Amino acid sequence: MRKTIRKWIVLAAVLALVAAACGDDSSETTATTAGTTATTAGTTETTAGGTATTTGGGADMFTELKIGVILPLTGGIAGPGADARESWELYFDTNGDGTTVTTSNGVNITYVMEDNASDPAVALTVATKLLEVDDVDIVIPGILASTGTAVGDALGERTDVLLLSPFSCNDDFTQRTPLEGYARPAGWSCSQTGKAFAQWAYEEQGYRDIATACTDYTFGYEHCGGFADAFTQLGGTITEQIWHPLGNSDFGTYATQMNELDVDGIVGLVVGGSAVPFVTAYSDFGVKNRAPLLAGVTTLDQSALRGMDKEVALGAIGHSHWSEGADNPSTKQFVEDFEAATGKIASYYAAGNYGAMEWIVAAVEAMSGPEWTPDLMLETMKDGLVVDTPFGQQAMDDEGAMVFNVYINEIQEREDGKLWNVPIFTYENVDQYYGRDRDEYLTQPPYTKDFQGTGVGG
Amino acid sequence: MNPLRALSLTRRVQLALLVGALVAGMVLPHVVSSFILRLVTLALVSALFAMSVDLMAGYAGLVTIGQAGILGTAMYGVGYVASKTDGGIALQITVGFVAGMTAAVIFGLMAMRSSGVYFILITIAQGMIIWGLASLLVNITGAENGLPGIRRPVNIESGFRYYYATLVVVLICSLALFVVVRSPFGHALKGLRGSETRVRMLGHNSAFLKFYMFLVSGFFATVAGILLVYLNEFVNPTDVILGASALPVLMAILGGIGTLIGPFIGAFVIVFLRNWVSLRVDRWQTLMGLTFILVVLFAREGLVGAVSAWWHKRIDGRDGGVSSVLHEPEKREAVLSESG
Repeated sequence: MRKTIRKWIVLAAVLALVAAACGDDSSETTATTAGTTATTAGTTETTAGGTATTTGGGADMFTELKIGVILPLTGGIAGPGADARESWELYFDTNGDGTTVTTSNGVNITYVMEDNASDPAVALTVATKLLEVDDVDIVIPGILASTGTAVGDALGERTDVLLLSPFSCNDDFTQRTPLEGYARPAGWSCSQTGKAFAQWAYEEQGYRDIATACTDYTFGYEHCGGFADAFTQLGGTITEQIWHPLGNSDFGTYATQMNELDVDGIVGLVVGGSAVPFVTAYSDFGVKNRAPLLAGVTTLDQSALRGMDKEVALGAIGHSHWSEGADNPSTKQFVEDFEAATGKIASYYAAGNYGAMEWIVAAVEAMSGPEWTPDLMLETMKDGLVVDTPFGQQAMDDEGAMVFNVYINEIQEREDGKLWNVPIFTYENVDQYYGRDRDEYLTQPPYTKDFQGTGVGG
Repeated sequence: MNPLRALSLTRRVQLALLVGALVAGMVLPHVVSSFILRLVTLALVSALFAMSVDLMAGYAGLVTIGQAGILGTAMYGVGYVASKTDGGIALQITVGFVAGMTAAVIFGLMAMRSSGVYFILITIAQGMIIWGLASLLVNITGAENGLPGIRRPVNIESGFRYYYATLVVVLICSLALFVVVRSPFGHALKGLRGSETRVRMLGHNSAFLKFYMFLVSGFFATVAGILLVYLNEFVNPTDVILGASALPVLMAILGGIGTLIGPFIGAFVIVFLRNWVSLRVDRWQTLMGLTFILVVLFAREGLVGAVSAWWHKRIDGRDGGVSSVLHEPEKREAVLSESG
C-alpha cells in the first residue's frame, strides 16, 4: 500500500515537472505565420485575401517572404545560439509586430525558427521540415561549420531556396568550390580577418616572430592560416604552430609549451566553452608576461568575456569584424537595444543574426518584380548594396562574401564594470582576399593543418 | 481447420498487430508529409541499430556503449568513397561494409575476454577511439566539417522511395535477427547473460561466443550505418560521439531490453521526441528525461514489458511472463526459494 502511495506521489511530482517544462512554451516557441499579416503604419495596404499587395510605386511586387532559421538552441553551443535567437527576435519586435516585418515596399517577411541541438543530423531533419512543411524561401543554417556544411550540401540542388549564412565561414564556399544559391550577409570568411590582423602585428607593432596556438579543426586551420600566410608574406616568421583539440578545457600543458617559446606574440584561437580556460591558463601560467596574446575572433568574443575574470582578460588584444565598443551609430544603437532587451552586452553571434536580417530587408527593399527568386535576391545583394548593420557598413563581393571593417580590439572595463571589446585600430573595407590578387590567391590550396601559407614551415 | 484457431489469443493479437504494422508501413508514405516520412525512415534505421545493440545488451547481458563506432565507420567508408573519389554506389557500399565489419572484428578482438563493467569500459573506449579518429584525420574524414557530397542511388533518390528501400532492408534484417535469437547461438548468448561460467562448463568457448556476437551485431550496425549515411547524405563526428552510442541502449531500455520489438518501439519514441516533439516544446530534453524516469519507475522491462505484463494479468489470465520474473528481484527470490 505504502509503495503504491509513494509511486503516485512520484508520478504527481513528475507530472508537475512536465507542466513546468511546457509552461512557458508560448513565450519560447517560435513565431509562425498564421495567415495574418500585420503591416507597419502607413507603408502598405494588404488586401483581404492577403495576396496582392502593392506599394506606393504601384509596381507588381511579390508580397510574402518566409525565412527558416536553424539555430543551436540546445546542445553544445546553446549559449551562442541563445544570443543569435534573442537578436533575431529583437529585430522582429523592434521593426515589426514580433512575427512579421513589413518592408517599405510592402513585402511581409515572416520566419520559422527551429533547434538543431548543435547536431548536423538534426539540422538536416529540421531543414527538411522547413522546406517541405513550412515552405520557406530562405534558410539560415545554424552556427557551426558542420551544420552549415550539412545543410548547404542538402540544399545544394534546390534552386528555389536561398541559403544565407551569417556564421559558418568555410573559405571555399565563396572561393574555390562555391555553393549555388549561397551568400554570407553579415557573415565572414574564416581566413579573412586574420589577414588584417597580421598586417597590424607586423606594421603597427613591429612583431617579427609569432607562434600560433589554434583549435585543431577546419575553422582553426583556416582562421590561423589566414594570419600565418599574410604574416609571412609581409616578411614575418611563424616559428611554431601548436594545435589543441576542439572542446578542450585544460590548457595547462599547452601553456607550458607556450612558455618555452621565444616569440613576439602568440595567436590564440579557441571556440565556445574552451575560451575561458584558455585565456585563464594563458594568464595564470604567466605566458602573457612573455608574449602578448593575439586573440582570434571567437577567443575574446563577448559571449566568452561574460564568464572571464577581470584580471585575466583586461588589456588582452584580439581582433574581429565585431566590436561591441565601436564608436559608430549602428553598433551603438544595436548594443543599446540588445542590452535593454536581454540584459547582456551583444556578442558576435547576436550581431550576426541581426545583421543578416538587415541585409535581407535591405535587399527586398531594393528589389522589384512579381516573383521572388534566390538568384534575383543574390544579384541585388551583390549589386553595390551597402547595408548599415551592427558591424558597421558592409558590402558583398561577387562571390557572396563580405567586405567590412576589421577591428583590432582591446578588452576594457566599461563604466558599469563589465568587460567589453573596444577598437584600438581599424582596417576598413577588408575583403576575403585582403592584400592579395584574387586569381593568384586561388592558385594556392585551401588552408589545412599541412598548408598554412607558402612561407610557413617547410 | 482454420490454422488461426490453433493459436492462443495472445498469438492471434500479436499476429494482428504485426500485420497491422506492416500494412501501416506500406501505406504510410501516401498519407503523411515528407517530413514525417523522413522521421519514420530515421526511426526504422535507429530501430535496426538499437536491435544490434540489444542483441548484446539484452540477450547476452553485455552492455555496449561503443556501437556508434561500428555504425560510424561504415558511414565514413561510404562517405569517403562518395566524397573523395569518383567511386560508384557499389564501391561505396562495399567499402562501407568492409569498414564497418573491420571495426566489428577489431572491437570483438579487444572485448572478447571481458565482461561486466570492464566490457562497458572497453566499448566506451572503442567508441571514443573512432570519434577521435573522425575528429583528427582531416584528410579522410573532413573532421568537424564532415563529408558532404554523398548521394543516394539514383533509383531510390526520393524520400518516398528511400523509405520503402529502408523498410525492406530493415524488415529482412529484423527477420534475420528473429532467427538468430532463436538459434542455438542465440540461446548460448542468453546463457552468457545468466552465467558465463555455466556456459563455459557446457563446453562453449565464451570468448569466441562474444567475438561471434560482435560480428553478428556489427553486421546489423553496419547495415544501419549504410542506411543512415544515405538518409542524411552526410557524416561528421557527431555521428560517433558517446551520446550516439548511448542512444540505442536507451532506445532498447525504453522499449524493452531483451526483446526485438522493444528497441523498435523505443527508437520510434526517441526519434519522435527528439525531432517532432522538439518542434513544439523547447524543453524536449526535460520531457525525454522524464520519459526515462517514468519508464524506470513504472515499467522496468520497458514499454513492451509493461504492456505484456498488463495483458497477461488482465486478459490472458496469467501472471507475468518468465522474463518478468527474472527481472524482478523479489519474484526471483520467491521462485528460487520455491524451487530450491
